[in-house]
Amino acid sequence: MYIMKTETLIGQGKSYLTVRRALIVISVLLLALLGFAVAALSLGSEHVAAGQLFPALISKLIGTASPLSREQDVIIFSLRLPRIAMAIGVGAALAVAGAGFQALLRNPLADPYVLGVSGGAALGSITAIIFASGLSYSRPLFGFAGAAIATLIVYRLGKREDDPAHLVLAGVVMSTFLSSVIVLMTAMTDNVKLRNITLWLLGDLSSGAVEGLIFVLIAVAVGAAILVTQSRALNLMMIGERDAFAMGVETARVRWVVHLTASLLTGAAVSAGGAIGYVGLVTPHLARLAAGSDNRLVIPASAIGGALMVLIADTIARTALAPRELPTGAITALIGAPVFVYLLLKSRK
Amino acid sequence: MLQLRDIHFSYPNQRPRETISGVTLDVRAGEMVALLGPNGSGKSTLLSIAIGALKPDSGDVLFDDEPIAGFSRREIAQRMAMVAEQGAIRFPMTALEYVLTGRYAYSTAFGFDSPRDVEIAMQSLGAADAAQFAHRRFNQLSSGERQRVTLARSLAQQPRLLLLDEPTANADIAHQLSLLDLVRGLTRERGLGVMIVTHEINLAAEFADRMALIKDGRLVACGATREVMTAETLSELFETPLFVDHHPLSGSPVVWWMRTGSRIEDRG
Repeated sequence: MYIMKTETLIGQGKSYLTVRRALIVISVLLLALLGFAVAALSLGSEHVAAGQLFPALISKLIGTASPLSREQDVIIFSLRLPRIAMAIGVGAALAVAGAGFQALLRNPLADPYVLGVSGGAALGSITAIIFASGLSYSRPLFGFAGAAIATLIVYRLGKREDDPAHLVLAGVVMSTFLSSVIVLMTAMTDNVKLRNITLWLLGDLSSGAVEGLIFVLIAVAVGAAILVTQSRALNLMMIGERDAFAMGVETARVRWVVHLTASLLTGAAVSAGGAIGYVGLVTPHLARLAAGSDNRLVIPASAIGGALMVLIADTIARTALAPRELPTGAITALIGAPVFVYLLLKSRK
Repeated sequence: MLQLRDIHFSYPNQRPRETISGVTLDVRAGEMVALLGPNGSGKSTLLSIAIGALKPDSGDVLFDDEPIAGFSRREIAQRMAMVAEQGAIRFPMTALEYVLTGRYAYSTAFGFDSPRDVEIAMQSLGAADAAQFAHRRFNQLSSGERQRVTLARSLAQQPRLLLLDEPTANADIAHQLSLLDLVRGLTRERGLGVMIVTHEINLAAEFADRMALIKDGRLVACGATREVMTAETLSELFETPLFVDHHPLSGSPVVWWMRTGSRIEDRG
């Protein structure tokens, strides 16, 4: 058997995905995420040394007296920890959705935000706030429905095989249209609260409710697990749908499963944390660059990488100009938009 | 092995016009059948029906006397493989990764490729004379090299029947010949059945055992290459004057054409 150096950075020696390479990549990413989570927990207007966090966490768990002051305790456990959990959940959800859309649509430019799917989720969430605020979980559920409908429409509009930019164009049209609808809705309801929500939909994790957090974390766990079971089929779909069918993939079923799962993930993420862009674009791309295109690794690696990206962006957002806060979505867009342009130029070559 | 029995098919948006009208065709083990006909005659549609991608309006597709309608996608993929021209892939992938996707029909829902899968993939690359490309990026290969890797992927499915849809389109004559030589070798060594759709009449005449000529969805002629390939039949099939000669070495029929509108007296 041939053993040669591969062009990927990790897992030298094999030109295909081995269990070893997958484990290395996942472990490194998990360690990085853990490290950044601890750092993010200690950083902020009220600085708490990382060394104090673990005793505080343990005392919280077993119910003994905390080594932290009351203010510190509130800041760490009621404000920062939920926000960090939210950043991780939202980032993972958006990145996994992006990886799923990219493989399904055979398009490295696909991303929930770029495709207008996030816009659909945003419109769904706002509709829920205006018309169905009494129903519990109406926001994530309407967000999911909005995302699913937007995906369907964009898919129909931009299905053309030969040009990846075509789909993106359809997504841009979708996004602008949906933004206008959202603006019109908020203008007509004349509600100050709703205007704040519109701002929040640009991507802000500071006001996430516990209800939304739980929904996001469950959606991520379930959604990522479902997509991982489809990852081998997605490897084939990524090459061509007709081929995948001939090679034993139930393409119609995979399409529906991935479409619905990616919409669910987007709906959950956007209804909780706003339309944070480009996470689903940048993260899977970096995962592929580091470890190859096999979705069995790209999907879990994107989940952790996406969590990392949003966590870092959100930490920057709340500390860079403290005490003023920046929208998290602005930070991810600053990173993501240039990557998008790079990928677009590359795909046109 | 593969039997198409009185297949009728029409695309939903083109009804009532039938794309395939009453085609009956067999492919036996170890045999290469070439499907020829003008553009739009229904050749590729027939391949799609054979592999179950399109359901015929009436008629049966049988594999070893069992209707394929009763098989799962995986069961079909373990029996038949399709080779078509493969363009660039939008994601970076090595040739070996590409060939390993051919093992899907034998895999569990997810999980990793077993050493056996890798071994079969490497053997398939070897059989397609493409082992040297295993560790290269698929997109960096030339179209002729891609064809061999694509053939390797279909062999990794360990099929008994290969369906080739214009596999040599865009390849130079050397690549066309080497690919068909490879496929012909596989029919002999492994008893693989082959159905090939092609526009290369002369290559088909050289390599195929039998020829099926199709026009407007109907089977015009089907039989041993030398019997089917007459000037009259081919001229009628393609609606252009054609002549049949013989290859100086192999003796296979060779088709000659005439410039449209040219007259004998022009040559002085």
